[in-house]
Amino acid sequence: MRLSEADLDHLLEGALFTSCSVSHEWCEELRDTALEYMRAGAPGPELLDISAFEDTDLIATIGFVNKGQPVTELRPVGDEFVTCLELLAEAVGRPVRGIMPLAGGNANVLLAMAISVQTGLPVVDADPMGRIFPLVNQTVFTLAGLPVGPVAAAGALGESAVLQISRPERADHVLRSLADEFGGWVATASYPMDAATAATSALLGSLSQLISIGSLLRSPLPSAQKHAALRRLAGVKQVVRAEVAQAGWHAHPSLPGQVKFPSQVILNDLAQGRVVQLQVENEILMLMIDGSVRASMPDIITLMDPESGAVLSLEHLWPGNVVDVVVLPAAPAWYTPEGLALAGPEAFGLGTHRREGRR
Amino acid sequence: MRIGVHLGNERVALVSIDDGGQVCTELVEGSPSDNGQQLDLLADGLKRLVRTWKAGQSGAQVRRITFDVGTLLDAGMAGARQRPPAEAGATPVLVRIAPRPPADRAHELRNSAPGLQRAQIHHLFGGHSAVGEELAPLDLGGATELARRISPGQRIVVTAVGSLTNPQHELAVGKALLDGGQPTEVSYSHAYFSTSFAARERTAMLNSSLTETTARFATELAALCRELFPLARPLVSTNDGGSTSLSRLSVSPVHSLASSPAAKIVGASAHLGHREGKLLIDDPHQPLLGQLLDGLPVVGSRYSPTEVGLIASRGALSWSVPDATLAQWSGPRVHVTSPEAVCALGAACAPVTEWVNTMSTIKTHEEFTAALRMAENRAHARLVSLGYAPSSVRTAESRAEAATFGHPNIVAIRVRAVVDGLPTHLATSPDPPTLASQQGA
Repeated sequence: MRLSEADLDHLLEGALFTSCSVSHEWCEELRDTALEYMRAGAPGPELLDISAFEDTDLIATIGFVNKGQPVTELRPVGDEFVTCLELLAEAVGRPVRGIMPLAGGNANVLLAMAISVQTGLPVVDADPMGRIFPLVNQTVFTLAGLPVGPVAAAGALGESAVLQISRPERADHVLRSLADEFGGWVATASYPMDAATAATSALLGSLSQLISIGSLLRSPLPSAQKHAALRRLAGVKQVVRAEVAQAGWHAHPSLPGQVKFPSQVILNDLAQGRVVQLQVENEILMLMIDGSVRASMPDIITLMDPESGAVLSLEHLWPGNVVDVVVLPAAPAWYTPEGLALAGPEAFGLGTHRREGRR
Repeated sequence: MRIGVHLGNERVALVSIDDGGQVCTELVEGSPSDNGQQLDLLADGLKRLVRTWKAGQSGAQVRRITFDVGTLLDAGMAGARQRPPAEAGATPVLVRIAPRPPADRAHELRNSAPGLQRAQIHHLFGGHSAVGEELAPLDLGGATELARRISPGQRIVVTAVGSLTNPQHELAVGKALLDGGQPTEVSYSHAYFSTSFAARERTAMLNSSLTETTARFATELAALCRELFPLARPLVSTNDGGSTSLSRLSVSPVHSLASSPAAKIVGASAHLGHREGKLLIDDPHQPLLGQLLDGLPVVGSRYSPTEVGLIASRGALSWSVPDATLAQWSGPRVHVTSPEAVCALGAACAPVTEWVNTMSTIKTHEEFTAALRMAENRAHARLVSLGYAPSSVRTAESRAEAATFGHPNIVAIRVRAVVDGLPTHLATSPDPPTLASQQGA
């Protein structure tokens, strides 16, 4: 399926919905890059079901890995991912036939579309996270025991590297260090695998679901109807409508491979006067109401505007603002013991908290 | 006594507030086609105000006069967009400093702001990392060569990667352009706080397109003030609902482009005495919802003017109000009969404001606290240096701003300091025109 400009807008909205973060600009600039190519005459990105590939077609996962410099500041010049895909193909010994985003939320989703338009490579309707996680190794591929490498990396300064790494957790360490040296971020192509392997291990259909979610969010439906439709489509639950009382953003150094000391936002439940707490570190990690955990990693916790049902960012958490806090479940793989060990509350320094009524 | 002036497209509104909180309003009708006519209308209105005071035997001295020019600036921009490019004025020349130039046109992101499609864009090697370290040596030779190639009389905007943390490359290129060429103006993106290269560049472009007009206008407004109220401090309203020295209108008019909606929020809240929470301003032309926190409009770090992308200027948050919300609203509401007068009241009430936005490198919580205190002291010191008593200055906001996937040792600090001094109770003059009727919660 060729995506149109409208599809890209829906995809953007869906990608922001599943990854509540500070700023939407990074995603918008990547969408704009895809649009620039399309308006110059290039066909739109091609989104394909995995069954459209031959079993032995090589699929690569692409994504940014950051260390300090926003991509909106040190902007890609446009050859980084092309270089990565060429290096990876050389390392593996055959050409890449399809790409998928490293995360099923936020910028890497739009990145895949921009690279598809630029290179002509189709995007597999799948991803290895089903949401966004901060670390490269927090993927279902890791859970399946698949190797992360070889990994190709390229930076905005024109430097590149091929890493022969098999352990995904080591890949995150090394790539963060490279990102630091390469100027603040690094473009990566990783988890090379046959389409047959991707068919059994990736989270299939995730990108088309984002388009559906985004299309719903951008519709003129009243907020209540949007909530109902999102519940039917993706199991989204509106947990609480609350007014922000206090937002304390903290900056604490974090160790490589770990996230620590999340920031805390306190809200007041408008209906019942309960105390609502959000723990935030890049995205919302945990939701507590009157001290009880109502949702935590790997659940997807996000924000919507109560009036319009539009997606909100963390920037909307200013004192006095009223937001709808909604929760949707992550992919089932993340609720297994192995999945929780890799991406559950303990992996984020949240202790052994479990939300009520865990599935 | 303080005076607020709203310069609108159809009328000039003037509001005075004396130390007892007594409010007087004057409206001067007219559809001025240029700034000269605007000034004539303004002078007319000011003289009528003075006559009113004399009739009421008010001998109060005017201490400050604040101009809200947002509506005029916005109308000017809208007019420029509708004119053919050749008539609308030259788009600034853009100089982008980065470790490498874009590999293709798509990565120049020419659709990210109006005017970029036809802009001259020149690339120079250079730029800094998030911690201020050089990513690539600056191509100063290229800058010198560029200075010779750019036609005289151009406005130039210089944007460098990492200039928020280290502006050296922008300044060096700017100097080379000024020394080796004859530009009308060189603007620097690091004057605008944003971690987005595009947002800073866009803001500098927008500001550059406004300065030619506003420089002259600000001078003429200042002259009028000196003539009529020689002891008054001339101020201009800003996008955050505050105010700053009128002289800044010549330098950074972009920070006054959205001042009118912000002034409307401040004026409505002052009229109602509402200091916290949402407030519906029931303007028959454009109902608006604003939000107050401790008497000040809540402010975002960026805002988006019509047809322009997000720009790096702090704007008072406001929302348009659908009919359904208007009908169902049960919170505080001000029914506005004269939107211009509400804006003028807002201008009169707007506190003088200083912001400090900075990126700080920290390793411990103690360093973070120290960086915050330093920013607060800087904001206070700026206001005191403008002549305001230290006891009248307070910190309205002091916090770190969240940053995603950023460097763990770098935090964005945001501090707002304001000068208080508004009477705690306003009494609207019983004479028409009525400013607004009110419905409280």
